Amino acid sequence: MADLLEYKCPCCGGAINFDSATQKMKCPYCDTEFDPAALMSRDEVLKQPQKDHIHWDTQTQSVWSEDEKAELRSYICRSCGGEIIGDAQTAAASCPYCGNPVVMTGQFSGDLRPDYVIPFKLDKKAAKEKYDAFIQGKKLLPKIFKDQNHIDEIKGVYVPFWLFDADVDANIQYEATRTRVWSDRDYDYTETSYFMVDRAGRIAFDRVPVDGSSKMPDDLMESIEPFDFNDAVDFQTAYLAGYLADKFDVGSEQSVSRANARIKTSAEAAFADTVTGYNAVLPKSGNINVQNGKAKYALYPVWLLNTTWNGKQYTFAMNGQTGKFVGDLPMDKGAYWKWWALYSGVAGAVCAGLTAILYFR
Amino acid sequence: MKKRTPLIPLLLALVLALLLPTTALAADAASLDDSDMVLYASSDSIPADASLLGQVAAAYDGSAVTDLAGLLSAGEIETLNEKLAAVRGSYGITAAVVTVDSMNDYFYAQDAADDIYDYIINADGDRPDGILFFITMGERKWHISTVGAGIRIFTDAGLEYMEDNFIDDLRDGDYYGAFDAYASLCASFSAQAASGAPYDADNLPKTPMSPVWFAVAVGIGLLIGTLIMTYYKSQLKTVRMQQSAHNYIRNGSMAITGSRDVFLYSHVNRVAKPKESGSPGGSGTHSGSSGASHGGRGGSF
Repeated sequence: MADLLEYKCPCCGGAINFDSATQKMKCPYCDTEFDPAALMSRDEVLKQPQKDHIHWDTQTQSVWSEDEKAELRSYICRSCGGEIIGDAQTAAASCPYCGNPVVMTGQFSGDLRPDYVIPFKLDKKAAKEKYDAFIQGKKLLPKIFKDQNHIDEIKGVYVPFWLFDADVDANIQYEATRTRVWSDRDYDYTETSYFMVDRAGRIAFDRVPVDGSSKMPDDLMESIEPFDFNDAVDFQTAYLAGYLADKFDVGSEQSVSRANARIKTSAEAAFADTVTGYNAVLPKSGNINVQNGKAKYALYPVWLLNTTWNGKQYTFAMNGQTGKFVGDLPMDKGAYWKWWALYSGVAGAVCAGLTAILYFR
Repeated sequence: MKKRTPLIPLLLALVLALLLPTTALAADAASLDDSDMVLYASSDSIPADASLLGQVAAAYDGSAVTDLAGLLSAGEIETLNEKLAAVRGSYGITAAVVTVDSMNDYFYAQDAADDIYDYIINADGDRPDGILFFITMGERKWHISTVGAGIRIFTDAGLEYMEDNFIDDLRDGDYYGAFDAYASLCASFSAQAASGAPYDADNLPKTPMSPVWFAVAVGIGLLIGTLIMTYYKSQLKTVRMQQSAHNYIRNGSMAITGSRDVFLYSHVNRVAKPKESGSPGGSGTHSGSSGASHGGRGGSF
């Protein structure tokens, strides 16, 4: 039984031995007994190589035709270096990123043509209305900011996204515990049962988007998710009329890791949800293989609103399809402390009153 | 409460019973006259020498406070008399204070207090319900003796509570403060007993709330205020990265191909339940030399 020598107690980590009297594995340190079969299977699982395999097929095939290239213009901001494209009729008055009015027009050049586009469903008026509603009902927003309430410019921009499909194979081990509590006259008992739980299975993801523009803040773009891909159509340059389009400058290979992180989190959560009936579940080990990833290139509609206040630029974004509106707002510090003192004082007085009532009851 | 050997007071009571026939007779005789006469009658029949009861009887004038040790000013005595008389007036409980320089022929403050009540204050038998706060400066002992309804009103736990309220004043030499606290407590205890539930182990008057509770309450208030403000602050922050990709899970694509739940081991943790430590409440009693039943509490200061 030389191969039994190395078993470690799952409970306390001490080396455990086979106890011939009980025909079980017994830990000499904490006296816990184990079924040898259960222990061996647990050990085998833990010894398996746990490596995540991620393979992406990031190739997209379509390229711009010469006709399409002729219709497009490229605009480069001299201030921040942002590059956007529009059709020949669109005149970009200012850079959508930094608001700088000096925009240089050049001949469009590029390699990859978008596979899909979700056309704008909401217009500039809707974006303005959303903004007006967005700054209402926020107690800590400086009143001056609200009153001045000027938006420098509202621009509809097609933002390039990489879309990743993924089939995920997962095999995850959990340590789960179930507790049972009971009492008799003299003692309270807590029985903790430890389980080793395995879950293996598949899950698939469709079109996880990753912002392909380095100029566009990633957090801003992820905040206006989700986009409904059911509205997506095959790309036509006609959809660009009247809007600006950003050109991807982050390749799909670089974007993979971001999609990967989100897919992994979701896969882990989905599998953990299947481990039920326990009081506590802790993932111990596992591997998540992401396969057959296929990257597509799509343009998603975004309204960008810029305003400058107290020398700082605030950018808001609205999902041009669903109308979801986001953007960080400045905080009135004076109002914060005023309200904080008020709420704390009232809550403290109520607490003190309640304490006194309970105490003298 | 200190444990006493029950034998010693019993023996002493026996000795006293043998020694005291004169006092008892004198008190009995005096009971025929009106109370003003008691003073002179008893001082005549008892030599005003070393006998404690003789000294107290000589000074006792029927009012609540008998300050033989001279600890109080005339004005203080008057105030205390009024307060203690009010207790008697309202609840029929005789509340008295007796101070002496020395117990002389008594060894135990309990016996002295019991006898002073039985043979002097209740000499006529018209004050069967009462409480006496007795202190002797020579021995620096105090004792509270309760009689009749007083035993029910001033329970053991109640007397312990009283002690906590006056003992510091007593030790600091603020005798008026101690007696004043005693007088106030006599009134509040009597009032509480009149409402049907005397102060007892499970029903003591509340001590003032510790400022720690207010500090905790204010701390909780600050926490709640901060939480509310965190909510309002979060309204201003809407831009954040997504954690997951759950919006993009392909419908029905989730398939569990292997599932295993293996029981490894279990252990039972056993914790002894805390034992209930309920106080029995009520009052313990003993019998004085006169045969009357007394409750009480005493100590040194």
